[in-house]
Amino acid sequence: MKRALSVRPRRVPLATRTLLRDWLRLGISVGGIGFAILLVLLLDGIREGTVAKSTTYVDHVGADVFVARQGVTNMALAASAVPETVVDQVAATTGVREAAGIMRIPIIVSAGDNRRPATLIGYDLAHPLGGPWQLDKGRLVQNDNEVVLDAALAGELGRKIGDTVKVAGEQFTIVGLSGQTANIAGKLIFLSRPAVQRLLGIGSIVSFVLVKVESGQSGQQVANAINEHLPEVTATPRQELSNNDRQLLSSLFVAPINVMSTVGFLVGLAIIGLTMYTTTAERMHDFGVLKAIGAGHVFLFRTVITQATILGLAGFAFGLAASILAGPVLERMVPDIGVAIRMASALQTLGAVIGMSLVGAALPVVRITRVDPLVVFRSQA
Amino acid sequence: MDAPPLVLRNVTKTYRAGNTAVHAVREASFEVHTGEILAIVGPSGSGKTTLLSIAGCLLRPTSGQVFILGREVTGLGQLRLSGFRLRHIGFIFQSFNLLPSLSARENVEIALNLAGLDGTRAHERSDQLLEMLELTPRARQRPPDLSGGEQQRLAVARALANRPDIILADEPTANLDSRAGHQVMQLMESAVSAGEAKGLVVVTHDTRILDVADRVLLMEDGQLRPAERS
Repeated sequence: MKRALSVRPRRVPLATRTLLRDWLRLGISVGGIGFAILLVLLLDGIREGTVAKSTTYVDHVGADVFVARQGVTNMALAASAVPETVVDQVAATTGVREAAGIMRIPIIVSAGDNRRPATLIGYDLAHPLGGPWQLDKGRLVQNDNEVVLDAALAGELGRKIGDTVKVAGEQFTIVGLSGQTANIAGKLIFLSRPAVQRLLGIGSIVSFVLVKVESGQSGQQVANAINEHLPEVTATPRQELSNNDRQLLSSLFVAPINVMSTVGFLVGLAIIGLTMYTTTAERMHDFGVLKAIGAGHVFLFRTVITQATILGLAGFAFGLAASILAGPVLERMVPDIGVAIRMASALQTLGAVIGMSLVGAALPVVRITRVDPLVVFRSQA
Repeated sequence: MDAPPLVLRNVTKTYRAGNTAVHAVREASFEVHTGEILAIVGPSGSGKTTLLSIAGCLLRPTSGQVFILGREVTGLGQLRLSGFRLRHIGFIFQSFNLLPSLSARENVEIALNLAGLDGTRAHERSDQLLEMLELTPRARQRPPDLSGGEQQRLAVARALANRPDIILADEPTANLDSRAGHQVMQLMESAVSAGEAKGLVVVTHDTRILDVADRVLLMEDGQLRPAERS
């Protein structure tokens, strides 16, 4: 006799069968939970990615130590000005291979009626340290009337190489488009330091001094040496400055992101709870039948909790996959932000999903304890 | 000698509706012997289903005693009663009460799983029952895809799964045409003869069932008495 090949489960998978009975409801439930997970993961990913991207200048410019006004250990949102003479004093400190002063100020860039906020970096053309580290197109600034613009900013302004943009009332010719220079704190534009000093009407002052250390020296050692040698300034190693900036910017995001994540969590919980409640309510007669033929509460509870957990895990898998796919799309659409889905965040959310599933199963479990097995003698609607 | 599969002694069930006492069952006593098919007939509202619920440990009597295989079950707690139902009693209902999300085979297997039997042994037992009830070709179908007769045969298979001491059937042929009803009754009779169950109690309006019953009791106004067979 010919027999169809099939694998029979060891025990009847009642929970799975009940869920699979209504594909539409299953799809809506998994989609709804997945959307809530997507919301939670994406919000956390945007916070992480955007904060990480906000320190792109500190992380990529090539300096090991950043010297600022005394007491300033941040670059983001920091007001720092030190005399230009400090650059040479820093350069003379033991362990310093190279020192370069930069101007750094927030500014408005315009092209016709199109205006955009940006962060202006004025750097010493004789020392490329401080200037753009990645050019997508064109060349570096060579004259005081030239500018290198973040590529995304140029796109927003509708400008290309050879066009001009207005910075603080003066026209500059675009000679290069930089990459890795867009972030939420302001896309970067690069001019020569003398041009920035002239625009602002302040000579002999720099915002920060960037330091490259001799090989064999650590940033911390050289920062300590500068702090000892020049007490009127504060030197901070790159990693510490980057962490300080990230913490500062992260603290600005935390409250609203936490509120939105909590909303996402509650939406997921409500969907699991409602799905479980309606699924169980609809199947209350079946639970009565199972009770009548001898199923104990433990079996019935396990069935409901398994259903809720399957729903939660399927929703989590869907939400995680959607978040991973949505990240690059979002980054392309909004260059200022970054999306970094962290393993720790995903695991945390998974734990929350399991918690949601147990809470979502609680109400149906209470209902099951009350179902009367005598329903078997009533006709089904 | 083995104790009878089911004994009810002076069972009374009284419901209270405000200050009024409604006696659904009054001092009912009967005994089902091994291999016996007992039919209980009577008009609607006479208390047949209440009596069956008490015999099936689904409802506690107000007074009286229920014995299954000589063991009194009247005082057992809910947890032990559900275990007792699982191992000793098989139910067949008028509206089949199959689980619509499971296949025919799984509807039988779940009763075995609940009793702690799983894997190959459960598969073999369910296949054996489906074959006995002539349902093998329909094993993968779900109950909504089966005819009324097939569904009731499947309910019989589920009731027999754990080789119960007693099968309690509530109007098992009421929703079936005469051919399907006759087939279901014959299969139940064969199952008792083959020792798949020690005894069978059928509550019914259907006079055709009386042909296969060894004994018939009449229930009227909550009271049982032997029926005269024509």
